[in-house]
Amino acid sequence: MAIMDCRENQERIVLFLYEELTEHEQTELETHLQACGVCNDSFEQQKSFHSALAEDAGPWNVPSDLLVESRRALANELDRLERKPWNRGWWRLPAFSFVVTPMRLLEWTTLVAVGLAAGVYVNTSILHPASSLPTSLASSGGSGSGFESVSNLRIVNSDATTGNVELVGDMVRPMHFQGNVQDDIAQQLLVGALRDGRNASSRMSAVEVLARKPDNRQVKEALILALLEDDNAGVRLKALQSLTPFATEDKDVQAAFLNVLANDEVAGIRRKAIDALKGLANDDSIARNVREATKNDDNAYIKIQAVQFGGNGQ
Amino acid sequence: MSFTHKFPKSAASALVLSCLLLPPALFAKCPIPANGTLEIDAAAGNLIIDTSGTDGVEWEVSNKQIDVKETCGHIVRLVGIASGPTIKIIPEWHIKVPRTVTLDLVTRAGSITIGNSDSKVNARTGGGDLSVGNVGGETLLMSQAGNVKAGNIGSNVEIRISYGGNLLLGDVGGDVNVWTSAGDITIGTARRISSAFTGGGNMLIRKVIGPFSGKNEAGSIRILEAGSSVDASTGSGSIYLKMVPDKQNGDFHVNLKAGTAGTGDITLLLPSGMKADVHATTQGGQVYSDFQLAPQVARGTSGLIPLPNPPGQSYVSPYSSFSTTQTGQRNGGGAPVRLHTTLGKIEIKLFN
Repeated sequence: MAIMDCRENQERIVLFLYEELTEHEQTELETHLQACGVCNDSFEQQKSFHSALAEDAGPWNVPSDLLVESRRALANELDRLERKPWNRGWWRLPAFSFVVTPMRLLEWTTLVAVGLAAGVYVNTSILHPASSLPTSLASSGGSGSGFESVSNLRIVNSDATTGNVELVGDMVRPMHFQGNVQDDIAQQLLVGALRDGRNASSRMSAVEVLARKPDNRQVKEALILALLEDDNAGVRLKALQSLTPFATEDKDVQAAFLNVLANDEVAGIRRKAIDALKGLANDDSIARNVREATKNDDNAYIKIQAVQFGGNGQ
Repeated sequence: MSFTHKFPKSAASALVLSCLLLPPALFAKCPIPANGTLEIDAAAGNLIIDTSGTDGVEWEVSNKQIDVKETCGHIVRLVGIASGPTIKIIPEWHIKVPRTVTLDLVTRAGSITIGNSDSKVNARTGGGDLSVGNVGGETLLMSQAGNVKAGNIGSNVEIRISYGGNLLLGDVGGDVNVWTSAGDITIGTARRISSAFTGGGNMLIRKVIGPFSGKNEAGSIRILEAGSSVDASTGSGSIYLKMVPDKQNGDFHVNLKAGTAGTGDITLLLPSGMKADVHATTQGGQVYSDFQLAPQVARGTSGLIPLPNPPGQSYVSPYSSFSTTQTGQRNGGGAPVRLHTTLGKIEIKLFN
């Protein structure tokens, strides 16, 4: 068994015990443990230690300044090392050491355990949501379970000396809403979901529901925004389909479709846009814009359809 | 006796009207054997294939922008070239062939419509919709931009929409391989689905008898019934799967990953008699199950706890902002069932 394999896999054992490994890493580790007696012994030892920690986790009373003190001590130690670089080369730092000893494993385990315990403490003690769901939600059929998680966490400020940090993120809380798509709150939720840049599926669902009532001005604007700006072509396609019935009447929709013709990278969406504008082939302004938007299009179908936009003068 | 008495005006009008409404007469051009092949290569055109022909290929193109060169034989070949520098209107090609003839059709721009066929169908368009009836043989349908709709396919089918469009497919007696860069995928009952992919849209499979492998980058995957192995993943979006295997201890697996790049719930329905080794991981959600599961690694917390309503019938994992992995066996263990969601809940339900 290669030494490198054992070293990497023993590092992963602690993460495995805290369920912080990806599924792939977990499978790799399990495979290795089955084949390597040394690592398996190490796993059993750490598992026992971990279980003991877990059993005693309840009565532990973590000091409120533990994280700050730990960081301060770490900063002081780093400063000391920087002042005396000749005493200890960078390769002697634990993180770069290739020597695996029981004491080193214990150090790693302890550090990770303390770090995670501090993380849990911070998570449950000092986070404050920047904003909450609309207050009217609860009175309109919405509900939250009270379970919240943090998403999109960013560090705004971090002072290693004092341990002070400023974090910004999103509180994600399960919700359940029941009501009519015409209700303001329903529309707020759906339009809000359209802006969820991290979740295309959520945006897709929002477009599907909003498409049932696209004649509302706010809804139409949200759909146009999705059509023009969404990263996911599937969301844009659905937005375009829901706006198509308005292409011959609504100037904003026409402008959006012309924009799609000129700029959307997906030929299937451009093709649907030009099909939707066919009824306006004799409109001089539309015809001119369609020809301009498609003059460099490389799709044969779109090029031929564009020729039909002659306006009244042609 | 005047003519008008013998032949009323209304009848004359009806005759004229019916002549006007009749489809244009097609020119009988080439005889073709029952097992022959029709090849069309069109610079542009909506290809409308009527498969009620008997022993020849009849065709007509609706305007003079296309020059058609015809070759007769076992393979009848029609090649349409633009007669001028610009094609102003996409012409219509009306073609009548026997339904036993193999079809190999290409149009650079325009839609393709095909009736029922007993043979192989190979149809490609540079931009336009594809609409095909029931096909007995192997089928390949490709559109660079457009929707594809096909009836029941008796053999293997491959459909590819390069630049966006929805895909609707009936029942398939062979293997299914479908791909669209953006759009919905809907399939009836398939013997096997080797690959189904959409870059964004909803995927709905009514039933897959054999294995299924599919990915949806944004949107849900719903498999109403699956009889064998299922590998399904979404970038963001939920997965719904109901397993209906022939044998409760069959040699198959279930591997569902929802929200690999976002969020997504997993709902899995298992027959109560199915033998399974369940491994469910959620990073920031909860696991609900109709049967007891235990945490893979104890962290001072219990496994699933009973839900209050109905009492003792279902279980839920304690809420945790950490990754939660719950494992358990059904009926002594069997098919590996691995469920993973990044941010979402997992529900495992039993049915009889």
